[in-house]
Amino acid sequence: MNKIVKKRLEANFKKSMHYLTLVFNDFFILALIFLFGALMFWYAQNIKKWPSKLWFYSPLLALIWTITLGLGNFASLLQRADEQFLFNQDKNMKEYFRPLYSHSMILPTILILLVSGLLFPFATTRAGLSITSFIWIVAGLLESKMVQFKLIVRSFYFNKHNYYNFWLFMAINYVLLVITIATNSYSYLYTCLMLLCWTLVPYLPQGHAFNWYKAIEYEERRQDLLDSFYSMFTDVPDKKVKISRRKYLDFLISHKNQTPNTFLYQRSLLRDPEYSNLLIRMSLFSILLSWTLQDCKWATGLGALVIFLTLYQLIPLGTVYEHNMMYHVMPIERKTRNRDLARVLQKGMLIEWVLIAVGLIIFSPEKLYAALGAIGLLIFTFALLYAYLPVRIENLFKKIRY
Amino acid sequence: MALKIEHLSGGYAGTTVIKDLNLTIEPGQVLGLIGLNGAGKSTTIKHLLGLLRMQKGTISLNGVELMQNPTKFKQMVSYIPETPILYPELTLKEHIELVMLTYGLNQDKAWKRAHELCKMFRLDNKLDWLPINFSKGMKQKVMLVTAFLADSDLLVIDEPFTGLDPLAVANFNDLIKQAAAQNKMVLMTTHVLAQAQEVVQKFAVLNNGTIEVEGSLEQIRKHYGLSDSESFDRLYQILNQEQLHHE
Repeated sequence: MNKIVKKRLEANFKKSMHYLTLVFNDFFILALIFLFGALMFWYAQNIKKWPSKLWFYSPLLALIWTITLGLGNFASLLQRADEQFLFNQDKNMKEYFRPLYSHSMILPTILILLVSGLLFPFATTRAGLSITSFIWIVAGLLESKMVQFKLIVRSFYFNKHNYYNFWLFMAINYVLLVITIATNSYSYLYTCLMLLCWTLVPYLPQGHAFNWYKAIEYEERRQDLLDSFYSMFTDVPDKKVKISRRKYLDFLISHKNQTPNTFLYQRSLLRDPEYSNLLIRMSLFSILLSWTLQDCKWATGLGALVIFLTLYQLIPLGTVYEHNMMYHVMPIERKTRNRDLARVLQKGMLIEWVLIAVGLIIFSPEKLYAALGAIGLLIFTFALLYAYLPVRIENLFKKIRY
Repeated sequence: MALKIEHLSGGYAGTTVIKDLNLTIEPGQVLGLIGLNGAGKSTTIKHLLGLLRMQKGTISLNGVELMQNPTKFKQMVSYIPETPILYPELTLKEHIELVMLTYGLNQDKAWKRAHELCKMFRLDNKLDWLPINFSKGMKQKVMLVTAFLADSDLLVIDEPFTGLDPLAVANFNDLIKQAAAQNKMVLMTTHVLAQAQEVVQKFAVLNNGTIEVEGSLEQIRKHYGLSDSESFDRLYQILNQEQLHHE
């Protein structure tokens, strides 16, 4: 088991490094520095203005710390095939999990220290927390995270009682943190309590049989979450797509003049989260920009950029069935595929334009200019759909070899 | 009016799996393609469906050549793979609608037939389900429903008995018999010879990428020297010995 887990840790490290280099690319780092700098500047300017020791400071601090505590899952690195090949290794699972605790603690430790570092000036100067109390709380948070991981692993066995519930764990921590911050001088009690829990968890009665199904489900969910994060920045081949039925969107499906391709592409656009979420996310982002900028010229310009970026990322929808054998076996006409894909994307993009235009008009102070901006965006969308899109689709299908 | 595979040679990039294969299926005929793992059954099917590029030979159905007019050829073919392949974004109802659209079926007639088939395979109350909600056996039943709904001249079926419960197997056999009675052609690969015997009229034994022998059950038995008391499954032992000898 030791060899297996070591091998998996190495493979996981390689995978993480591969994706992290792609995520934290030069542009992202620059954007991050810029955003972080802006946040810090705002924080430094405003902290002086905030009054001291307001009643809601302790619940607010506790909430931020509890949310941070909730981030980061236990990486068991189990695989679906383990259900088959390791199913008689229940006894040795303890040994398997041992090196994984420290591995799983890396991300939570970084997050807890980072968030605590950001909170430090506020907590000590405005919320009235002493430096010693602050240190005790941070230590307690790290211990609490370890307790959480121990409980998670314990819950992977068939036990008489369920030892772990995420929301209950968070709620208990929140209440304890509120009390600890409020009492200030007894903050070491939180740390001591967590230390006690950490010592006692291994003595909780544990079932002999390992619940492979539950443990693997947990790991797959964790991996999926991680892959979803990576996929926001880069292509993740391992990512499983979870199709959602979304019956409430069926009214958007056109039933007139359908070809097999439009029939398929329409449903993919609405139900495949990779595409539908992109459309929703980008539209919301543009609306959010209109709201925060309160300037219709900037909002129109950025709206055009959002429309272009959405279309650019939606074009691969055309290849979504390339690996489905039935798509090639069924008598589906290929000659009309370019036109069919364009039809579906035109509809999707016009929906996005409607959302962006409505946001622009509602949130811009100058309604007339906002309306003109919306018309400008419509012209821009049409230009993209009729001049740019056909060329891109042509190139996309040229790349596919039969 | 027949399926004709003539002098077919092919396989995967750089590897020839099928060597000068000839096969004919007449209307109303159910042909069982049998052979050991790796004999070339799936490769033959992939060529027949136009999924692989042929090195040599021709495949035609009712006079339509696959390479000349693939869409018209595929319009006459339905396929049931060994592992069900569905569109994850489509509900069962939408799979049925897609088949109607691609095969140009009359909506009213096709829906009547679809309801009959769904009822037969106990899927009639699952029309709004997505494939993610189906078990493996249910997915296979969806494949059966859509394939039989298409009412194609040729049914290509890869290992049809995998994952089906006995009730579904009995229904499947009935549908095959009905299809044969309506002059449809059926090409079926299987290892479950005892079950295949019920519907298959002619067997073709594929060995080392070529048809070694074809004929009725009796003719195959006679060719391999199998006595009446011996199980047909012993054929695999004989084929294995032949292959070892060949190597």
